[in-house]
Amino acid sequence: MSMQFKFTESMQVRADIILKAYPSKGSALLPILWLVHDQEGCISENAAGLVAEMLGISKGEVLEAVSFYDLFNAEQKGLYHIKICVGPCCGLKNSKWLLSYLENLLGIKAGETTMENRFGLSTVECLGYCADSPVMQINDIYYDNLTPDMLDEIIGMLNR
Amino acid sequence: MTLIITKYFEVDDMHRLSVAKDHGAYSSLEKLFQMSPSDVVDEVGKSKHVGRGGAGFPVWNKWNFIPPNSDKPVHLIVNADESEPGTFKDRAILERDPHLLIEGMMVAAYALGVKKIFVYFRGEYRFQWKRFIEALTQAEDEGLFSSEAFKCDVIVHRGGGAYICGEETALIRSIEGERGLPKEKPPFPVTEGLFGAHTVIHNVETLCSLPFIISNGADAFASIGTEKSKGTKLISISGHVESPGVYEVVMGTPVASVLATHAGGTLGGRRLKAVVPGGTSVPVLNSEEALGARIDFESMKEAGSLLGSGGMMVLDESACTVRFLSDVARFYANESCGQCTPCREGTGWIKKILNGIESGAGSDRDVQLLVDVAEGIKGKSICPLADSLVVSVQSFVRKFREEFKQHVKLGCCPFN
Repeated sequence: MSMQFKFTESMQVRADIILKAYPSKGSALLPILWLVHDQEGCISENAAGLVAEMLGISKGEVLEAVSFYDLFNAEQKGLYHIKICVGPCCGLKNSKWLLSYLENLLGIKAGETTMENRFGLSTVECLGYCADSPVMQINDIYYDNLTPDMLDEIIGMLNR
Repeated sequence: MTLIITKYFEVDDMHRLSVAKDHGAYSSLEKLFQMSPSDVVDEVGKSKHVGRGGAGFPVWNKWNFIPPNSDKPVHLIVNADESEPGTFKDRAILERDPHLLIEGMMVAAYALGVKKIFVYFRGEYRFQWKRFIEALTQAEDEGLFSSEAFKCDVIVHRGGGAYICGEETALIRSIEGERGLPKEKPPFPVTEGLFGAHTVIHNVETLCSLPFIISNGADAFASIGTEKSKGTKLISISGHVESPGVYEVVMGTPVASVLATHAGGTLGGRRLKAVVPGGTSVPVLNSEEALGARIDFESMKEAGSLLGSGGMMVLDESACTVRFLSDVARFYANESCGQCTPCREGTGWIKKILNGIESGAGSDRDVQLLVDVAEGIKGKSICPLADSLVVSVQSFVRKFREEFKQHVKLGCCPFN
């Protein structure tokens, strides 16, 4: 099913620079995984195999890291991956109500993706934007001081 | 009031070298390179500067553990893996004055003869990471890292979203390409750290005071603050206040004045219930304790808590302390790396018990069970992650036991 993973030309250039900068090949694991993730939106088993080969480590070691570090997705989480913070500070600003609101709006529960794979919804514990809580992140964009009205507007916009 | 770190936070485009230089960036370097490295170490020692990451370890002591005449290299790690809920002060520095951090890195690296600096970035801080790299590249292109007086490589390493990697030994393993599992100490990183080298690890904010110490002298720095806590502290305030944000205060400033002036008071003027003064890893203070405390290491200890990271979370009378603690517990249970059984299982148990009590399904025995589990896992793991949750649980139950009992009695959350 999944396509054979390959770095694009520009990503390969970046990978080569990283491999040169790190003191040992194996230590370049995280930056190389970030390149894969940036390119694919996830780290597939196939890509993990290629990374292992590139770094001279086992595929198990790569998959181990992918599952350990929260920011790496093993599979794609939708065109728009929504991460809503339910940590202690956002909790003080009723982020859980917003989560329920969002779940209703999208018709999915946290951890799921919508039918057509347009939206993925995850909860996260802290994004570091505690002064502007409640917050969520959609792909690389942060939305702060959230209200239900804002959620209507943002999701409506992304649904168009 | 003296501002050491946030002086130019309101200036636009401070990440651009030309703008930063117009505002005094790198002005400490001329004096720095006239001093010998050991003079710099002595000067920083005289300043009594203490680390700002949470543990409060004197900077000079850390440096002094490097054995003289060792044939191993010395690496410097900048810990920018700020991930504790309620703590976002380093993020402010990285966004608004990254050159101040770069200058601070240079001071420490020069003093210790470092040839390789690793900057470990919190994975979530993507924007700040890009901005920092932009600033660093401009500084490198200017020749700041390849002059006669100072030569050094910098590797900027982006984490993958694991709170535990803020712990020194886990951070080191993460750079080495492994999962971030803490290691037993000793050996301490300064003896045998990253790739086996002597490794000195500093928090972002800690390094940012070094240029001031070099430019103005140790005495000028030591004249700011209290007898034991020198300089200023960044406080990141969140929760139920009118103006949450990052503020720089002189060590010794009363919490009451920070809440009233900087933070603009509690939301809607509601009654203050509790303050967690230093990130989720420190004991909670009730309103009376908080309003009587000052922002410095010794006063926070006297008040029954710790200054920690300066991540101040404010709970007003509308807040449910059980729900807050339940959110804190879920965070630690998620972030436990899992290698020590007491931490892996204990944080999970605490999370479940609290969830039960908060939802109204708890019994009187559960409140005691909560305290017992916390006591049972205390001090039994390699790193302090589980113990951080333990102090939260113990302090919240001790100070707000009535609220826990109310949940049990009513069979629901009284604050809904």
